[in-house]
Amino acid sequence: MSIVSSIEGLSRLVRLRAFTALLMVASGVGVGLLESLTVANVQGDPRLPPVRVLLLGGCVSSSLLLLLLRDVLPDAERTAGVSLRAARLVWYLGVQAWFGGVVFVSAYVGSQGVTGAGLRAAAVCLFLGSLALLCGRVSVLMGLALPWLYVFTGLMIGYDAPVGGGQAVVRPWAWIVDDAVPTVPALAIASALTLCAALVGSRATSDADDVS
Amino acid sequence: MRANLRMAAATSRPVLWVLIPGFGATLFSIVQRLPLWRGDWWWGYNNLAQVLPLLMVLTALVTGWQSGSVTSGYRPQMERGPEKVSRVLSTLLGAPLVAAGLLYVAGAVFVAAVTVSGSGVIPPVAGIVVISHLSLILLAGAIGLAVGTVLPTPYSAPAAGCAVGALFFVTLPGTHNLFTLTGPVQSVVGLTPSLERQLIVLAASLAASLVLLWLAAQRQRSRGVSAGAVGAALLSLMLGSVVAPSSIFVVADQEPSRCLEGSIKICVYPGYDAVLQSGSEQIQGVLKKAESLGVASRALPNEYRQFGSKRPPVGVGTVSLSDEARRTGRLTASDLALTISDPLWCPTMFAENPPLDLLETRDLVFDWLLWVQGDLSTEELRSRHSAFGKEPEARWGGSVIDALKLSRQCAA
Repeated sequence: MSIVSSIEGLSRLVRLRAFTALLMVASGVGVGLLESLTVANVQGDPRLPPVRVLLLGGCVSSSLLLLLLRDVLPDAERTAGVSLRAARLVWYLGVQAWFGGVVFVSAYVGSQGVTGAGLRAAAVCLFLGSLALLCGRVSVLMGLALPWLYVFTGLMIGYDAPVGGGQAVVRPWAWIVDDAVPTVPALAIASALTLCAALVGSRATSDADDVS
Repeated sequence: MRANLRMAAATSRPVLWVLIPGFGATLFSIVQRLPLWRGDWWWGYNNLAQVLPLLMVLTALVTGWQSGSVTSGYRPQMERGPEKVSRVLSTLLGAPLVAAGLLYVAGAVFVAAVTVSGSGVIPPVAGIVVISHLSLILLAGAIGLAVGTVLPTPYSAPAAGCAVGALFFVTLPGTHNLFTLTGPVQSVVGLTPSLERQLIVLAASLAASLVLLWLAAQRQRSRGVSAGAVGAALLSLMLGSVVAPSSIFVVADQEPSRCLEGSIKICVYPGYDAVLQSGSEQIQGVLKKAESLGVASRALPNEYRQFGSKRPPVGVGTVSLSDEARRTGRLTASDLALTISDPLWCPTMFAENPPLDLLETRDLVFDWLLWVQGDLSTEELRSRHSAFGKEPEARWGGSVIDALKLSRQCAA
């Protein structure tokens, strides 16, 4: 049953969300290639580090990931009469792995073969993406808003004044905006969040504005 | 009227997405450094202004979501019948804009209240700055609405978020980003916001939002008109970023006006009055100790001013406030040493790279003052300065007087 539904989901995905998927690949490649690029911080304080484009790209791609994956088996789930959690899990993990791979490879190429850069780009994108997926199980708007909220609060109020000059220090909760984002924990949290998102029952189908 | 309100309340569940995180972030940004900026209006306001980008992004996400809705968004409302356009726009924009705007205004009122209670002063130009920042929230709403007229929900929400994000982080070469903020880390006492820049920000964002709202108010739109309007909005923002001056704050013609005169004179900026009495007593205490150790008071400054943006006159000490001093209202030992040893007799001390010898002479006085207050051990002082190395403690006063003489002559 779940395999059939997955195939139905796939055909639906390909038919209706091809453009989103295309945008996602484009954003993944873009984010990866621009991994080392930074832009000026909104706060004109020289002690704050510049903003990594990767963070902003991560927000965009997390939204696209959610838009691509939200209720990918909607009719099937409603009519199946059995839980399709396993199929959902396969979908979520598969798409995350594929997207993470795209980001990793393009960041690896963009940084001329630095594995750390590739892993970092993939970790940030997957972390924000899985956050969007999990919150998207509650409501799509929440899933769209939360990565943006997290990154923007991190960039704005996530810094502590440096002690005795030097660069400002990131507060513990805003670690994803840090230059040295811990890759392995980020990837681990991302997988845990994706797992939760796949296993949690959906309320998102009640969203009136859930159109394809 | 009441029906309208009920309708707004019923359809504005997404607005909670502005209100709840917006409220939390606003509260945090204000309270975070409150003990430091109490009484210093611009510093407090710069703390509040941190939430502006967040409020803008949330407003854009929510208005984008609402106006793109296939059941109750812009299109269905416009196509439903002869509904007044203004009513359609106000139903879509009203709740998120009012929510974000009220939050921001409430934050500003809170900062103002704290400033006044800390005997600070709120300059009239503050009104213009708040209004120009509110116009940025309007701009975010207008962008959300405009995106929602083209894209359906849920695609409209992240698209609007991206557009606002681009405003912040994309700066064309050779221009200044209009949306840059000052940052909340330090006081800007003695500076005032550039009125020219604030007015340009206000004009550019108002023009862009009005053009976008006008576009949304058209029932029939050709592609040319739409492209023209979006282009005009972009052009006004770009023009603003070309003509706006780069510095957000400029030097104000302000002297520290709150003074206390006794055997010494000490002046601070409004809002720092709490330091006057205790600071004056503390400085006099150190001067007395210095006198007993052989450095006469007349060798040290007898007037002290809080450092603003302009160089203090020759021979005047600069009241230096660490975070701890701001919190407790009492100068720390190193604050006192800086305040007294930093009279900057010499204009060259203000150069980009002051001469090293001069700095060393200043450091000698600074460390000696720390030692006077018991904040530096005798061994430490001896090891830092060879002038104190061999001589007995009773003769140290002479070396300090020599150092002070040297710095007055701007020689090393």
